[in-house]
Amino acid sequence: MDNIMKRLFKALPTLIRSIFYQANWNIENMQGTGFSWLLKDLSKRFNIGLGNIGSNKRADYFNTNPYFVTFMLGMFLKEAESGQAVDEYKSTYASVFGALGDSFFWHSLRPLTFFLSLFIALYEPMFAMFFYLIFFNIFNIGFKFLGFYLGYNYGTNVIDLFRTVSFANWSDIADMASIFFMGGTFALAIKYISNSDPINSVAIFKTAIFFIVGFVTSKYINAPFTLIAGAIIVTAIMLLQNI
Amino acid sequence: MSLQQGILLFFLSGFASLDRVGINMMLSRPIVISSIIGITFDQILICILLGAIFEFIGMLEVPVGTVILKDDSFAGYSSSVLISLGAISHNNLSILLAIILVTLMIYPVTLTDIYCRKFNKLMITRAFNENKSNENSDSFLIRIGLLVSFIRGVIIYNLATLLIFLTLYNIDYFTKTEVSPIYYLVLLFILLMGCLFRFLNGELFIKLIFLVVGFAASWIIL
Amino acid sequence: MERIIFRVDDRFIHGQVIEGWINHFLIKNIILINDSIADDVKKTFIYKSTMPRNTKLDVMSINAFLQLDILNEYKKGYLLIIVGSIHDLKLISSNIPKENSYINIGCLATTSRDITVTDNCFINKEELECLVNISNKYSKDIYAHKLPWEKPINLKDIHSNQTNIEKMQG
Repeated sequence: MDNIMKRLFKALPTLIRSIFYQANWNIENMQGTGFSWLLKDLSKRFNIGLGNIGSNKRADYFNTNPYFVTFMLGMFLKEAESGQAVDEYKSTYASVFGALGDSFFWHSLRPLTFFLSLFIALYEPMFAMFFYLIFFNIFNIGFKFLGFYLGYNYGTNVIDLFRTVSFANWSDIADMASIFFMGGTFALAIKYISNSDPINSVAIFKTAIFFIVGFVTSKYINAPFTLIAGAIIVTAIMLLQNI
Repeated sequence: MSLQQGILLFFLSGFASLDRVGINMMLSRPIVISSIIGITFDQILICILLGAIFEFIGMLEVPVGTVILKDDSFAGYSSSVLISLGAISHNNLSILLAIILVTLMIYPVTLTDIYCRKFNKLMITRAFNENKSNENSDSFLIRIGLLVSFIRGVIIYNLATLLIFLTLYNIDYFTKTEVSPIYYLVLLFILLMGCLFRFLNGELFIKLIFLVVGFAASWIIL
Repeated sequence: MERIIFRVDDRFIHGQVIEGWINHFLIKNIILINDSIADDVKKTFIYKSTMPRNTKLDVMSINAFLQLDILNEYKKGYLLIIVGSIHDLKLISSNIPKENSYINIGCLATTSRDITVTDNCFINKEELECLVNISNKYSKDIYAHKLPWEKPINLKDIHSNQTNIEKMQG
């Protein structure tokens, strides 16, 4: 069996632990406790000193995107085995993975998964939830397990891989796909509220106005207040129509 | 509400809060929580629509650095529970009132999340001061973090929902209308879609092209 | 927002910078000023790999930045200039344009410093004095400003609060 695969299986319990490593998130050391917990666990499994940690060393500040933490673990193991000082790159990679992960997972993947789920909901509402969980977690679990493999395989040169697959652009691609499906959702919404009349100009006008108002106000007002203001306006319209 | 449904809500509120803090497997997304509640109480369509509306609150924020996101999971949970337990009627204005109240309640609920993080900080400072930092203490801190998040979800989500429930239940009678609110919920959904359109990356012109192409494709195909 | 944004951030490029500043203002030009990163080809490459499409990152040393004519080199659009410490900001302060520039402090996460400005910005007394001096010298306010949509905190307010506390204690 491939040497790296053997390590992957040996590290499996640590990788499963990595799902929970953010639980002590705090403003003192951010994810530091969790990362130290994972490193100590990995260190014990491979019987090797990992990074600047001793058994009693307090957890340092550490913060990255949670879906990328196993890349760091793989990298630490690889560099420790080859006697390199990985700590030098710890903060660099933590920041960089934070930037890449926040853009892709938090900014772009959530809206894309959401719009895809909405389309699934059209056919079978019950499947929407399962689709959401499965689609998002393919990336989540994929990054968690593949991340360790790749982090170990490439060591501190793992960024080459991200460069090769143009990872920094994935966010833009996902956003464009989200907008495409947003357009689709828009059309369906108009069809729904125009009561089966295929081209209802009043419905198109109304929805377009709401869309533009949302676009403009989001520059100045945050989402909850936009929602509250929208709900008040909609209530007023409803009451006026009722009179 | 049956005992099984009650147990499900107990665990759902706890796990949603837990997922936000420590797991990130998206069980806490409003559309997921609302769907689960919708399936349980046989109210799937309206629950999905409510979940979709509150989903935007989370999508329009990114948890960078020390930013703690507004608790949209609570919003999805609470609104779906309210409609499932009959605090608000389907053909009733109170559904919009519920949206307003739930959205306002997001702020104090998020505050409890902030206090949970402060509690984590307190725990870690104590461990530092007592010079207890080994694998066992890290593991203990992680477990405490998970437990506190779970308890926060169970207590805070349900308490806040109960408060809104009592408010709405008393005024529900006065706000009955014959107009279906679904139409207006769709309008709200589109309003928030406008916000998201700005939020997503890309040049405005290119975004518009994608929007129109998506619109046309959906219009023709579906 | 002013066109040329100076930011002090010990994590240089991370989620807050990309999601908060670069994407929010559609910034196309970024300069990272740090002597050790400028000397390290690998670290430079790592930071450059995080840049979104059509966004250019230049990594340069403090001396190289001091030779740079910012206003002529970057005539249009936003420019984000990142340094890693208040000390580095002081060293480059002579090249901060008087017009069209905004200085903000982002993440300085070493909690051992005794003055808490924001939840991820901690500074010591000398650094606060240094910031106030730069602010006075260039008649420019300096803010602790994590994300563009959050309310900025004027460092002069922190300084006057700190002075009051010291007076009371004294």
